[in-house]
Amino acid sequence: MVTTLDKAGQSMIDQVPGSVEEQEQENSPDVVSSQALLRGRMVFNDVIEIDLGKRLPQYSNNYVGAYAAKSLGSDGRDLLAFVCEPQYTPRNRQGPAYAGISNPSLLRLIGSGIGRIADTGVSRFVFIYENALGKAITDKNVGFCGAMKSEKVMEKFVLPLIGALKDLRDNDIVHGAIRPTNMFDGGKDNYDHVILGDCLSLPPSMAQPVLLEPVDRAMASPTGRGVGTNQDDLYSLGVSIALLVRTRDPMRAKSDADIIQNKMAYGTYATVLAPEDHLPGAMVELLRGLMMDDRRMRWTLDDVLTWMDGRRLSPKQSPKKLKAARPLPFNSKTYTMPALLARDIFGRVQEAVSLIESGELEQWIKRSLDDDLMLIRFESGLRSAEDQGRSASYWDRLVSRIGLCLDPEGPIRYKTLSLTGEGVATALAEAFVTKKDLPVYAEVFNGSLLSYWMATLTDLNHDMANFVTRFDACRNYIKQPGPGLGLERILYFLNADVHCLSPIIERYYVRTPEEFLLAAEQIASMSPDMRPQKLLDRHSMAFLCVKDRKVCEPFLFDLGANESYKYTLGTLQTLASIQRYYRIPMLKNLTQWMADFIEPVFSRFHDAEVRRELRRKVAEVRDKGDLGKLLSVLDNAELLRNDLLNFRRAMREYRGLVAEQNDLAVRLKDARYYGRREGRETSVVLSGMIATLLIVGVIILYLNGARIL
Amino acid sequence: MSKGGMGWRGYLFSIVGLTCMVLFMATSIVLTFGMLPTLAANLIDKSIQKSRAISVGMMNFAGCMPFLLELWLSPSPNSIDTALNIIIQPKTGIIIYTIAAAGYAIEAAVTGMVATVMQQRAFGRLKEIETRRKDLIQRWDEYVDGETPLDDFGFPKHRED
Repeated sequence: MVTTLDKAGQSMIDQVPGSVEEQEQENSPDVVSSQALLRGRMVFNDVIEIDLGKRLPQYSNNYVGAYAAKSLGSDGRDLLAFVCEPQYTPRNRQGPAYAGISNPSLLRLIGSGIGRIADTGVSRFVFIYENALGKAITDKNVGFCGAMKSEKVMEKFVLPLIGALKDLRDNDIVHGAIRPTNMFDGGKDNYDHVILGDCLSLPPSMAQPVLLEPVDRAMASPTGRGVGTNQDDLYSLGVSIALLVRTRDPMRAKSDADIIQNKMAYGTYATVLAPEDHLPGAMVELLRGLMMDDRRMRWTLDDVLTWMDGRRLSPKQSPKKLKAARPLPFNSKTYTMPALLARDIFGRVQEAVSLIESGELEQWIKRSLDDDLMLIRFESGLRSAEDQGRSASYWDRLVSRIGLCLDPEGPIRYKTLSLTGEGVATALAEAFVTKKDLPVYAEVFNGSLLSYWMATLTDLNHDMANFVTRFDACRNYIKQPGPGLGLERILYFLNADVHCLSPIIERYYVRTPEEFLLAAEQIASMSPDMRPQKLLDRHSMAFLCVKDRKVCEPFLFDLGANESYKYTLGTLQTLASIQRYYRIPMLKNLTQWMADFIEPVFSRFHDAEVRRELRRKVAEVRDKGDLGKLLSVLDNAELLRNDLLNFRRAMREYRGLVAEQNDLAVRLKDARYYGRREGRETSVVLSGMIATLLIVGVIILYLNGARIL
Repeated sequence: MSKGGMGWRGYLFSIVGLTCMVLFMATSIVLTFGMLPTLAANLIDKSIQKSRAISVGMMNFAGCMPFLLELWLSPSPNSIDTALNIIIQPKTGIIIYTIAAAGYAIEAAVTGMVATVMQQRAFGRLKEIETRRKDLIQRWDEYVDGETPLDDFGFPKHRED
């Protein structure tokens, strides 16, 4: 896409000059390989069957496929299923709120959750809609010229879709997929029932062509655009209306880069509508209000509703774009708009660094742009880039900051990344699944780029409080490399929608600790050689910590320890906590597995008799399915302490025995002398006693008159 | 006090002893004659405790006792003539030396018996110790011998798990 940079740092804008239409024909290899797993019959909640052999291209987009589905109930009605891809985080938490909206212009959501393919065990998140879309208004977004009458568009499109956007806003949902190819006729002729297609199966705005996105979001990578606001929906609606009414495409066969450049230079209105399209004043008002490039000037939904009530609002005049008095030559081109220069310096990092370090750019800002704030940002950007020294990546750090200095409201660009602040989350999820660019994300969170970005926008009166809190937390997480922390923790911290991406558990599409435990139970039901060596990895720990701190965070120390007994005990503690807090009744397979898994814990007890007794107790609770009971057998500090005390006592006894043995061995070396001393002492005593008796006897005899001579 | 000399206590003891001998000449004659086996045993016994000499001496003294009583209870008590009369009689020598010999026999027999018993007990104890050591190792693992450096929890410091 437009702003994705390849590894060599060369912008793909230059390398892929084809139109968006051409690009739309290609699916990324990741998507293709992921979708190759989708074969056979998928079942959702045992009540809906999705036929993965019946892909519906008219409803699918580049990233997510739509499939024919059928209710397994008595009605057997046809439904429409969007089967999400793991790398593109679906907005699963929005499902219930969306399903609660009753608006004829929004596709009715029947249900959302995990669909499973029984044969392969593959699970995916699915959205099941009522099959009521009908035909798409068009099969191409860019280059589409509806040439419809303004009155008809106003009646058939604007009125119902504004109503739909109002309902979405009231439910705090951003549609993020308003484009002509995602508008359908609802099976009615003459556009009597226009319906907006699915918006939940992808991150917001991901499938939007750059033409339908505001410039700042269009420059971000598709997964990195972030949630956006209802104003972005209004912008997309404005462009879509313009496409419906226009008769000619002024940007015909132009690349995305050209479209963005044109929007920057002349505004969206002039980019989408040709001069010869003469529209009624009311329509011009509406389109100018909706397609205003400065989001602060763009109409809000309330403005549109007011306008529809008959009160005419003249669109405010867009502030004059900052232009340099003297163009700056860079890479064989000249630039007068700093935002355009900001975009293009990322494709030519080396030349950009020369431009910055030569002082030429600073002079240009000072003299030609005469923008004091930008000059302050420039100096601050230089300092920020040098925060981590001038070692590796200094050039990239420098260029990313200068890019933000020149275009502070543009995306955050660094090396291969181009993201909005909110889009960091979904883009990081994609990076984890596709295993691309993770070190680059680590650099972003470790360095001061995000701080610089936030400081820059704070200076421009943007409310960055939310970002400051979140990114400060991310910085703390990345500084701690232990399990349950690091980049994985950031992933789950920023992405409430993302499922657990642990390779061990991923195919179960786990979204809550409860689902995690149930998936673990399924893994435990496999044969022992099919089970993983470890159940909890960095992903699982981070996921559980974010979803529910109390089930995993207290045991992170044990889980991160090198000693296997600590890890196994930590694992059991975590799983038992989940079972206890979520009141999951019986996990027979998992308890049996854990009973085997905790073998290293036994070796932590010195006393073989204690071990034998523990094994006996473990065998007793092994089949009861209660992890808490299993844990209570082993997690006994008193028992462990006594074991250690007794061990020390046994050591002392052993030492005493050895000393005694050595003493005896020495004394018994010459057995003739052993015991003689004691024998002599005994003989002295005995002789003394006999002698005493004799003396006393003789005295008595003599006193009684006896005589010996 | 000069090294190897008797010292003032030795001199005092010698003077008192000699004085007593002179004063109780008759008793001294009988005892000198009667305690000859003890003197011999004392010369033969090279042990520090002189247990053999003590055993023989005590029995020897018991053997002398009737003749001393004879001396002291005679019509002319404690006279040299009576003393000489006592010691020249064969009966005196036989009785005294027989009892002294009994003392020697007691010493020899009891010492041998006690030593044998103690040796047997020592060998038995050695076997007991060996068995107990094996039991301790079996129950508490080989580290109970204290030969391997252990951590605070009683496990070898180098152990991985």
